[in-house]
Amino acid sequence: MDSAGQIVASYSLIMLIHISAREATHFHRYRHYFRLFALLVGLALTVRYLLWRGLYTLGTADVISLIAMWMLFLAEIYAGITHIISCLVNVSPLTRPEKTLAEYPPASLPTVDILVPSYNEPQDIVEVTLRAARQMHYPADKLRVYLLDDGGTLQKRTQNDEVAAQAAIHRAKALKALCRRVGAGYISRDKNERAKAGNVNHALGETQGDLVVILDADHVPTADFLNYTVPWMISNPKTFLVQTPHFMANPDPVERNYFSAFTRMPSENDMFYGTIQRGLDFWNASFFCGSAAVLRRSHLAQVEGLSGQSVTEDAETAFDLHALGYESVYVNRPMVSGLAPETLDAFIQQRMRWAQGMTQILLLKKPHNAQGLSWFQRFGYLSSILFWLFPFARIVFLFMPLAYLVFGLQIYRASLIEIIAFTLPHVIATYQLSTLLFGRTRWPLVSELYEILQCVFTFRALLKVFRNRTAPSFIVTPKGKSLEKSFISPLSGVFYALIALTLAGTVAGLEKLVSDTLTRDLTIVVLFWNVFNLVLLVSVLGVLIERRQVREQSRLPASDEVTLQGEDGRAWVGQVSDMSLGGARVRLQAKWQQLPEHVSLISWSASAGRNVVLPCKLLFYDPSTGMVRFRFIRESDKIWDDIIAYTMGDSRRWQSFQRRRMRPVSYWYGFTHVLNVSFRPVLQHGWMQLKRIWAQEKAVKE
Amino acid sequence: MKTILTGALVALLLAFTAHAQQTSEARLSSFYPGDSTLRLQGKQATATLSVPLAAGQTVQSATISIDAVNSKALIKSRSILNVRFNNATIGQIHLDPERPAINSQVNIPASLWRAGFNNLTFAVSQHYANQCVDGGAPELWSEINLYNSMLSVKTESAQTVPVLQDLSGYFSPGIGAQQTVTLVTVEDDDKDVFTHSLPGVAQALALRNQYKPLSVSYQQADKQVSFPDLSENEQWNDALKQRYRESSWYISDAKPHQLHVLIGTNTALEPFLSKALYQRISGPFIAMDQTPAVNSGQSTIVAKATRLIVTGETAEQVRQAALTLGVMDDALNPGAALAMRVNDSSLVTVSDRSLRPGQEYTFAQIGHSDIVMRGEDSFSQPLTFYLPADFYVPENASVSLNLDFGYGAAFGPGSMMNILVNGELVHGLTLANPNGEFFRNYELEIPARHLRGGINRIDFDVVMRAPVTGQACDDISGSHLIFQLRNSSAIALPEAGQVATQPDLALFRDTAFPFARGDNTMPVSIYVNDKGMTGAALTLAAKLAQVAGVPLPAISIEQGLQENLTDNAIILSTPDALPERFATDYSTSLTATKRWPYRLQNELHNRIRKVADDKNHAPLLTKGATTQQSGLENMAVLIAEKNPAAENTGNVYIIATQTPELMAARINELVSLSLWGQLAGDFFSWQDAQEPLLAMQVAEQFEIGEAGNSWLSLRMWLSNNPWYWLVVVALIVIISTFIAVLLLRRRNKAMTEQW
Repeated sequence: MDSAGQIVASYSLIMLIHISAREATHFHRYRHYFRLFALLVGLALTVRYLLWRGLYTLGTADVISLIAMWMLFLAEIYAGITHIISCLVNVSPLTRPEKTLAEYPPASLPTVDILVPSYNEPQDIVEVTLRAARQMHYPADKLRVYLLDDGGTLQKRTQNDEVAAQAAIHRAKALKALCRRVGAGYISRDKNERAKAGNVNHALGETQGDLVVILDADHVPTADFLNYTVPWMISNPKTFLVQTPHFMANPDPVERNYFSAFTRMPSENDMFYGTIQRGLDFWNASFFCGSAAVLRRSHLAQVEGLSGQSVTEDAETAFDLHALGYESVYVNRPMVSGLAPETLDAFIQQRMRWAQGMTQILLLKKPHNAQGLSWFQRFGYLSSILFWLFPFARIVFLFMPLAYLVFGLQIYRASLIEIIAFTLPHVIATYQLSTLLFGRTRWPLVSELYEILQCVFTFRALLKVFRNRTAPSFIVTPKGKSLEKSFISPLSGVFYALIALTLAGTVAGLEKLVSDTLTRDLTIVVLFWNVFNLVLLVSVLGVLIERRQVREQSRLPASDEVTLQGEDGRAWVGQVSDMSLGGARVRLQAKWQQLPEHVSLISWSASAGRNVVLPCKLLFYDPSTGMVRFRFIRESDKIWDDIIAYTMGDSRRWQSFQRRRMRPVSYWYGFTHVLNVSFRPVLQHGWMQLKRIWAQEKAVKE
Repeated sequence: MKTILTGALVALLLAFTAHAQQTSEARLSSFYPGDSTLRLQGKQATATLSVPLAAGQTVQSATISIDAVNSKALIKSRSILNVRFNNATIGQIHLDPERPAINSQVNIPASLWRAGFNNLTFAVSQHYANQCVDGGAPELWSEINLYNSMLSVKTESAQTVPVLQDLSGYFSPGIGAQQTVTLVTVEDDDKDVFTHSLPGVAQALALRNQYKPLSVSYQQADKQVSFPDLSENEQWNDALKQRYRESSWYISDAKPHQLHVLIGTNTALEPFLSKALYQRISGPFIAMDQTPAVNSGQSTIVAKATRLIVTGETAEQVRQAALTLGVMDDALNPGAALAMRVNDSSLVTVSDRSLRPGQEYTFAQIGHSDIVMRGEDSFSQPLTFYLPADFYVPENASVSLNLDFGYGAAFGPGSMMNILVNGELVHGLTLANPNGEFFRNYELEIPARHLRGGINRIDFDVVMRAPVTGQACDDISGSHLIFQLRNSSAIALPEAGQVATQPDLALFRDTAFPFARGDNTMPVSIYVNDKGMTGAALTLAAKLAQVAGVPLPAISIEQGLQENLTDNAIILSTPDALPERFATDYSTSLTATKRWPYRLQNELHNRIRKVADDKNHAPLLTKGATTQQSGLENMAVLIAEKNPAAENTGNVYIIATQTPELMAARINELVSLSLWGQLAGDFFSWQDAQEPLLAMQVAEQFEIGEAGNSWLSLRMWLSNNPWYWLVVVALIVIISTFIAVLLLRRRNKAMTEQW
């Protein structure tokens, strides 16, 4: 078929995808047919594109162009394969019913050990987690909470650095006291071997519970955590894992610095926990994510605890147990509230560890050829692992336009009409399928932005793994930091360089567009591509300004009815707008009131199963609107427990918050949103860099 | 003594040299491929016509009468039409605004003529003012009416003892060459001589005529000499009888300066040949021979004549000789005779001139030299090449052009190169780099559908303009401008199948398909119902060879219609002699009872004609027919249809005239350049050489040939049925969807059962 026919045919198929995808979102009996039809047609367009690329567009005259051309093609093959696998994995995300412990007599329930590994987290973060764990609705005689302190090991306490040793001794002492206070067990070991996996495995030897819950030190569970997870363990003895989502109570650096849309836009991990894990669950391939999960001790014992060959011990352990024929369950209810890394540094460090760990699994375990895994489980693991190789493709996609525009390499051999007939339908179909699969959990261009932000750093980290697959070591992600003032991330340099290169490419492209009439068609396309890269890179600048964040805990939206009562007995009725462990904001129904400095907040706590009375100190009051901001006063352990139970103990609050921000937006909205928030940071960077230089010069003069 | 000897030699030479003058007149439009009005535009412009002169002709005098018109805006003193012949200026005509219509005669000196192609150039310099003339001004024009302008040439044949080298002089497109030829066989000779060798010889001679048609007539000579009555007082004696036998007595209208051909086995030809010549025949044999004149008193009984003898000991050897005549280069045969060794002669094979699909050819391999253009002007340089007539590619196949070209420094605005493939613009490039550029392997991917079976043409249209200074009246001469296209440039053809849609007289016109094709071994015949049509059949065979550019040895001539015909065949017949079976599956019948597909019987006809304002004879599919009793009278009809009398799929081309005598005249008109170029559709009727009466598509078309390999077959099938793959993909997706839903539901059920 000639290009005109190809254009008509492919855009007809795109229309079919569009119609089918729309039908698939409506609730009727044929929606699965429409969903699958749209997926298969979209994949057919992708396969057609890759075949066309391979068969007709790879010829070139010089060797360097040929190398560049093949690099681009390999990157496209990679993107195509991950896209196809992703479609397969997410073809039918599983929605499990809610199972609770109500149907089981307490005596028949298994014993549960809650293990909270800690390394260097602040004591107050650990305390909240331990207290919340103790509040879980479960027979008290069958629930044990343990703090696994790896920061106060014998090795740490006796290290040569005396200051550090003293700090470790002090930390161990304080945490032991804390454990005694909150009713938790304290476990430490002699040596810090095999990081978190070693810490947990040591604790497994010290405890006896049938089930093990692992919680990161900053992961605060809701009281109903065991209520919704343990029944899946009881109903199927082959289940080795019940994983739940990690609900992040604070925005990650991208959400905070760039979009400022933490409460309106799906979080980065919403796509993984909201869609992908459900897709994997359908294929019995959902995997352990290191925390917020229940594991069966007897199964863990068969693989000698958590695996430790890679730095992502969680996925590796799940892989080993899946290979033994055991099953996993994913309960899509946020019941653990954690902290995302606050700084870009910490964020990148976390992602580098994930990328390295997943690549280690690829190299060490070879999931495509793993014994014991079904073919769909293999695809499931491959999907999760291959994703982390994105830096290779992303860097190729960043640099290839420059290879053409600046160095004149022939990277793509096709006419404009062919690009319209083959490339564009593939791109559109890929976007349509992404929207169909992840539209509610990922806004347009957000993935690209995250990938660009991470690609340079994770690329280096991945190279390290490919050079030596056992080289990476576990690095704990720093969390719980507050940022006292805004500053430009030290990681900015590489992005300045990339922006300069892309700008140079754009200028060269414009010159080529004017002077080289022969290749104008292709130049237009590549120039467009380069400008797209430039917009993304400029957008990254917004993320690189680390914005000031002094509040220790992020306040999350709420809508509870509350009563504020003064010491004199006067009371005001209102509704909570947002709250955190530190305090809350309430809109009172009555305006122009005289409020005392100290009031008590009275409200129903679902997790505690009673009204709680929390003493508060007034921070701000606007009589015209009735808006009140106050801080909770932690007068006693009981009050502290009530605060935790009230603010962190109810999973419905997380659920409603998450549902509120999961909404699909159009590509145009996503694109304009990115554009709208992209360009101000450019000026801010300029201003802040000038200020920095001026300050440095001033300091030198002084 | 020396003077005497020289005089004797001159006398001897004169004795063997015949001097005969002839005057040829031709319209200049016959030497120009474009429109008959030649427009010369701009400050200076040139146009060149190629005027061929046959070898062996001496020009005595030549005159051109020019009919032209010039713009009234020109100034007489600086506006001149120069006429050049082979680059020598032979006339200068002022372009006078007061007398814009020009009728002028220019003599061409005889000394400037040379055998082969001569360049007749019209060059104008045109000004509307004495200074500051804008070269692109629209008032700078003049027109030469080539149709009304005539070339008159008086030539003389300088014939000595004829040798084979002279054949190219007798038969060529040049002035003074022979336009008709008579082929003679002997009665009772081997039938194969008639069947195979006659068309071979006709084709061989027509190929020398290149594009110019050759009218062939046929005679059969009696074996027995019958001596005519002599004038009074003259008696037949032995010497005279012998001279008569050796003369061209068997030709009814022997002309002194026309060559005829005697074809036959040596046994049959023995009575017509001198003993010496006869004894030399021991295999395939070709010879030029001059027969003496036979005079009786003051009158000439038989004129002196030149003949070409094509013979051999057997009919097969005669066929080999005819084939050799078709492939041989005359220049390599300075002798009068050519005897082939029997063993070697069987090796004569003919390969066609078309390029092979799937191969890459440099322009040099195709036979083109470097293209160089100089000066400020618009140039158009064609590159022609042949593809197999049944060249068939999928729609998405592409041709790769790798061009090596460059242009010099200081090109001005408006300079550009356009590339057209068979008239379709495929690429344009502005020549705008002030320092010039040279491109090597400048790669163009062109959709292969722009190419077609037969002759293809790539035009390099280059406009070269001098730079502009920006100052008034400060024009830069464009003499420095240069553009070069190297013949190291190459064309890479895609793989192609051998499929053609038939019947298609347009393809027949351009390529002689299906009579000329890659596989030349398939026998094809021209069937004549009457021996009087043999000349017409030979003329047609000759034309087919000209169209194909090579001899077509598989073409034979058969008398009468057999039950089974060759798969592809031509029938020349009168309506009465045409069997009904050729009309049963066809809406047209040329038999005594005619079935005519009148144009008005096509329901769409009127509307299409009205909307499209179609005034030419574009093929038009017509359904329905009217049966009637009528004669063809002066009209001839050519129809092409699926051959009902063939074993395999093929075409039969039926040409009918009312009488056998008319057939020769109509075939001569058909093969003329003007009418042949208008062949189209599958129904074609005419009664003069100017234009057809009707050209229509009557029957549904069908395809013959095969793709060659399965992958190509699949691609072509999809290409022919572009929506099939979409339907197939949709079906596969729908079926896959149902299967996938089923499997997913099964899995879902298995999962939920655990709950």
